Amino acid sequence: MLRSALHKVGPIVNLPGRFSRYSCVKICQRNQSTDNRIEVFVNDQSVWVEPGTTVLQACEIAGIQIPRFCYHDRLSVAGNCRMCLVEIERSPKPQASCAMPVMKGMRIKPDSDVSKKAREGVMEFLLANHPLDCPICDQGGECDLQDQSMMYGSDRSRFLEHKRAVEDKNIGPLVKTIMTRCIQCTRCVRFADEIAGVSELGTTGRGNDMQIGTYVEKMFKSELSGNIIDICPVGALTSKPYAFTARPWETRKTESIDVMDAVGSNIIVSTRAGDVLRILPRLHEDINEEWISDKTRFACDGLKRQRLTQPMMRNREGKLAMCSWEDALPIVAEKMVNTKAEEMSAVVGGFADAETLTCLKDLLNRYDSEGLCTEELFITDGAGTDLRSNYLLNTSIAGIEEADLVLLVGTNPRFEAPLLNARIRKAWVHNELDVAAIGSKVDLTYSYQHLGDSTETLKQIADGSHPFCKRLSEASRPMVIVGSEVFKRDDATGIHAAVATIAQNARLRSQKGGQDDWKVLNVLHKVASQVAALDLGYKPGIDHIRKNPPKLLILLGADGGAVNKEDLPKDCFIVYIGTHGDHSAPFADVILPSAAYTEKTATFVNTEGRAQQSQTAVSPPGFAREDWKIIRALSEIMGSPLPYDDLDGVRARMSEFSPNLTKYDAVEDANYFNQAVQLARLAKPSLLNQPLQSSQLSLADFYMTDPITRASTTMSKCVRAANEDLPPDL
Amino acid sequence: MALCNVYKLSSYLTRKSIDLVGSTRAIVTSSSCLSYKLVNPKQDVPSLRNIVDTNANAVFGTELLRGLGMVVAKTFSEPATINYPFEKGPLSPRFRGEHALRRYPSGEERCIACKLCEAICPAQAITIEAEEREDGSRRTTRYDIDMTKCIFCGLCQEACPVDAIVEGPNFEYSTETHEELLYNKEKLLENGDRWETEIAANIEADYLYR
Amino acid sequence: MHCKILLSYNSVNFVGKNWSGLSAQMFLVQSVQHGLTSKLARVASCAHNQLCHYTNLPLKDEDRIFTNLYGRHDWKLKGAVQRGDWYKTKEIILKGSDWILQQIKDSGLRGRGGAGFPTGMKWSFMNRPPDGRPKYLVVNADEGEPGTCKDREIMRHDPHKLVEGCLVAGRSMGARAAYIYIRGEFYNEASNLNVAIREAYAAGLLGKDACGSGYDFDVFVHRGAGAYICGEETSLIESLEGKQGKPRLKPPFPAEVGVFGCPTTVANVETVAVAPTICRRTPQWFANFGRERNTGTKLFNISGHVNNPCTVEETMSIPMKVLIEKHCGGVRGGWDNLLCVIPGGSSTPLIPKSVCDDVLMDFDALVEAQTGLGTAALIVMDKSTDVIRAIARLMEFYKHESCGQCTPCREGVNWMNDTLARFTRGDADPDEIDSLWEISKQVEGHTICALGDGAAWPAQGLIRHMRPVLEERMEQYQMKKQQAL
Repeated sequence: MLRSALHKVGPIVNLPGRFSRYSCVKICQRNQSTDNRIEVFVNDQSVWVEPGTTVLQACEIAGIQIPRFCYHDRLSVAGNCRMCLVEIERSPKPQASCAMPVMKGMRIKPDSDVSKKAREGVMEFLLANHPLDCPICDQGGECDLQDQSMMYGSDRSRFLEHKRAVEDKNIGPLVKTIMTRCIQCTRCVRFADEIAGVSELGTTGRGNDMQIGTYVEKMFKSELSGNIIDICPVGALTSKPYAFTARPWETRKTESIDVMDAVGSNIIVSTRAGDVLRILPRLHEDINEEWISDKTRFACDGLKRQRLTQPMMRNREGKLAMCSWEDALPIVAEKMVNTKAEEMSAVVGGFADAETLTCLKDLLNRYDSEGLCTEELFITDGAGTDLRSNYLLNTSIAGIEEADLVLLVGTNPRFEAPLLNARIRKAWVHNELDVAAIGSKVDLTYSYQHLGDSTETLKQIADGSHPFCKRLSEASRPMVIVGSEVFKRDDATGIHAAVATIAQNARLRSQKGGQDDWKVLNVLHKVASQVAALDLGYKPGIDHIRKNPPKLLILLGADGGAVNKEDLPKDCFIVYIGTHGDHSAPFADVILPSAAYTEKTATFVNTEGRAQQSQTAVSPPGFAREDWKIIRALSEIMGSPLPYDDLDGVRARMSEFSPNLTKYDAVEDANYFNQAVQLARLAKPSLLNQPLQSSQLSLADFYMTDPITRASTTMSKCVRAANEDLPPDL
Repeated sequence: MALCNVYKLSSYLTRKSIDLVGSTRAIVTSSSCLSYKLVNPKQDVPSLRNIVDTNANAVFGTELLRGLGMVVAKTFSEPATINYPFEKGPLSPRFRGEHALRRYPSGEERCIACKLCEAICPAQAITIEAEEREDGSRRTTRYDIDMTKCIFCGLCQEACPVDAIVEGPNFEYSTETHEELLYNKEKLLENGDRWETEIAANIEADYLYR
Repeated sequence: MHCKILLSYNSVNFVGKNWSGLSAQMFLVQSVQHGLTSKLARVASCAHNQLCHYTNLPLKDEDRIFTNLYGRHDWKLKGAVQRGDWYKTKEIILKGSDWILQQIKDSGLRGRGGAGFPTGMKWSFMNRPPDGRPKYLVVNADEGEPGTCKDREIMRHDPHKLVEGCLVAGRSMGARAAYIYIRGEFYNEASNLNVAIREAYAAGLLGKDACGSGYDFDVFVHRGAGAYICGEETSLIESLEGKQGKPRLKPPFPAEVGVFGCPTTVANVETVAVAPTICRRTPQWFANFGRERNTGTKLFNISGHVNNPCTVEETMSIPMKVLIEKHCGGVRGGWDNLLCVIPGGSSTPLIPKSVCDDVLMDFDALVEAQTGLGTAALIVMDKSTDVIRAIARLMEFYKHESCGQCTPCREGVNWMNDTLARFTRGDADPDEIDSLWEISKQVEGHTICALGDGAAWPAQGLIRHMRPVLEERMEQYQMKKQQAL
């Protein structure tokens, strides 16, 4: 209570059921009965609302949009812009509707002359010191101030004094500030404090000299910093990489899915003339709400650099040279036909979509090859990947808000899945969630109990001898989140078994407490392709090709560095299908250029096991083609075409493998925890003495993790800025 | 004086003769439509007096004299035409001719890449690409107008907040090829530099009505 | 009924006129001829049977609450006890919360900090069923209103009144502790207050088992850093919590969520300091002064163009003219030299001499005169004053002290300041006077706290009463400009 009281200066608002999508305190609302609603009148129209609803929300239910600047659904109420003033009967002066809770029988007059006059007055004040440089402002066309001034603004100014000018702040390579445009709504400050958990923004100065800034010039060091661009109602905070690039009316917007992490954030891809210009978040309450991470938002310039645009082959000198599809495909086909099944393997990387995985699997299976591996590791002993519940984030991301204890094992969610971390922080702020972690001691933006990084601790918790077990047993809805990075270790099975035991014990206790379907075990993956690959029966890790050195290896965007030339036999023929000339393309014998996630309609399954579709926003560059089509074409040249030739066909085949892959936006329950634990014990797991460490410790480690981000100049600027104390440019 | 009288007379007669010619259009197929309203002046019914006048005119050759009078008069009056390539008629300050991108007196280009002209162009003839210039200002890297698409409606110059894109007084820019009419930023700026004096004068003349 | 009062009271003013035969209607007609209707109506509605009480009689010395206002006696515990402080405090405390609240309610005491909210009612908001949170009394000693210097005198010369008041007021609302937020510039006052609190602790009057009553009560002094806005109750709370002193939104009111998230009452120094005396000398004694709804004695601060500026305790509802003539030796150059008075600290609109002639110094009368009692700090301006410049200077103060949180105050006060700066020179169009009026109206009532109102009112007062002066100034400026050309 105290924690949220300190964070929320204004009233903690419980929103009515209809607006639960926008609710910031979802849990409080669930516990509320719906009977005690009260009647208020908006423009004499009767509306029934939950007590505690604000006047602004009541008006919204009545279908009347109140203008606002400082108010934001997901942030605490500041009430300082005064744009939302409305007249309320029997109140001597207009009230800020965003902060005013409704009272029984209240008569709200949002369209009265008093309300209108008040808003016009506020608008005049806001515009008095606003530079009115809309023609050069990047917010132009999508600016709240612009829109609302059309409604409440005057066409001429009475302001004859000097306008205020404010020095711009340099807060890093991502967010451009033009502080003269700032209307001091403090949305960004509240976002930083409440959601990002980085109290680096604040106000300095008083009265007309009040400024938003970092006080001393420094980078706004947050993995969610880009979101302040979206919430800024004016053009004070704009995107630096996107500066002056395009106007909102000339871009085409495609709703898609992000693949930079395994969270599967919903995004909007803004394109113009075949160029991805920027990426914006799209609302999905159960995944990313309305935020996205900086990598999701700003890595899109990596889609234009170092791209493979034409097939390549090694020529006689052994150098890679451009060629045509007609040259490349027959050679690959010939090699494949002439290679023995057990000498044929494929490794898929982090960006592979489910359709491609299906085709590749079909292709290799057709030649009796079982050499299908993912680059990312997981356990293979025990239940391995046979039970879905073993490798999913079972509680779901939104489920974190219902948890009361989270134990993080060997993961740094802040950088591995920033939005999952934001969700943990949200629950920590609003719902008294307690967090504990085993692994590297990192700044997660919330306080947590660090239980050390030794595997011994894990063992002790598993066998109940650790003091933390008491807290775990007291929790009614505990969660254990294990990072996929631990599976790189030699004792991966041991760790998974220990974690599964902890989770199983906690689950049984929570079942006793009446939480029947509460799931405890959660695996947090790092790459977007992993869950779909495991669903389709790919073997995690490249142990298979280590044991069976292949003569022909297909690398499907496998740029994670797991496969190296040295590990492979000299005579191995390597086919690289991918987007960027990154880690693996240079040692391939044939390169087949494929489409990136913005260039194809494809299925990705996030770490919760939720299948989602990306959409084609632009066409692949040059001669690059969609991945599954490449494989389908290959099969045809090999003489046994795969039995589908369109997307629907592939998807039909995909759901034969695993029906959940085409149930879009649905999370299917996976519930074989008892069996999983039993199987895990059979594998006789052991634990090594080596400490549990995350590879991403600081913000600089966050930005460049995959071929797209490594090709992005923005991301490299971020790394430089995060490493230095001061931002590099400006 | 006499000449003048002759001229008057001849013009009178000519009018009459035209009337007569008009009256010969007797076979009019559309006359059956009674709803039509006759807007021409009523024609005189051929009378004896008319016939006599006509014949007298023919006998005395008044039409010839009248024509001669016209020729003489025109010889001394000012000509209606101008000697075009060497002489040009007056243009309104609002004349919408060839496009130009203007500069400030400091030499700085005016265009700030707000893209309003591109947005408003009904023919979609304008293409703009923008970028941050080194000094941080917002400038175009590309400003193309397809003059063959342009319909010279002038909306671009009305939309421009900084009077950068204008339709100048120049109308002589015919080319041999289509490609030459695809103007780019350099061409437009060059136009601006060349026509700045005229453009500035036009804007000055019209400022009250803008 | 109303008419009767009118007639009976105004008979005094019309002595010598044979008007006994006139009907009330006739009288009104006559008064219209005298151009006096509004004035009469005003005075008449103020009239009350206590009226005679203040007209001639000054506040007797034995009725003064602040007996060491001028520091002529010992301010420490010994002197305070001699003057009657800490007398039977234990008994007051033991009578309990309800009794004290009833005394305060019966006395009709209204908050002395400016808004004039009935104190008894405000303190009773704290007596809700306990929810486990401690309750706090916060004493607002951040006296920053220009012209006001009453709390300072109390803390400097009579700190034990305040300390005892904290205990009594704290007991009435069941508060665990009192925080005295004192203005940073009040160094000596804070020092004296601290000494007084230490003395009180040493004598067992505060702390555990305060005064032997079994009630635990602590008093803490917190020094501010010199921001006017921190005198607003919610921003004072913010500042006390260590945050930027910016007002909070209400609701929730401090009585629900106040300092450190606990129920809190913020009270002015003077309000708190008079509480023990009211309890000791009975509320009836206190209510005996002033008019109904405006009872008690009050510290008035008179500054500006008077012969003897002073802080003085007087009864409420004393006529302004009496107050100035009696205690300050009159206006410099005589009453007729008076231009206008700002009656309640800088935030209240000025009133011109015509209104000052017979206005009473209390909450209701001044509200009727379209101004307010505020902190009862009279700023007297004689005819030598450049009233535009005076108000412009006040506006500069508000511009400097605006916290910048909400739009109308941040932008509007700055705007008004700039405009008034031009008005001072006359460099403006007469139409802009209306524009300034509208701007001030756009600020007033649209802000989070009352600073916006306080900044808008002086400008409104200036326009309301001094419009000819403004226009004349502009005319002169235009003439000068044309001459220069």
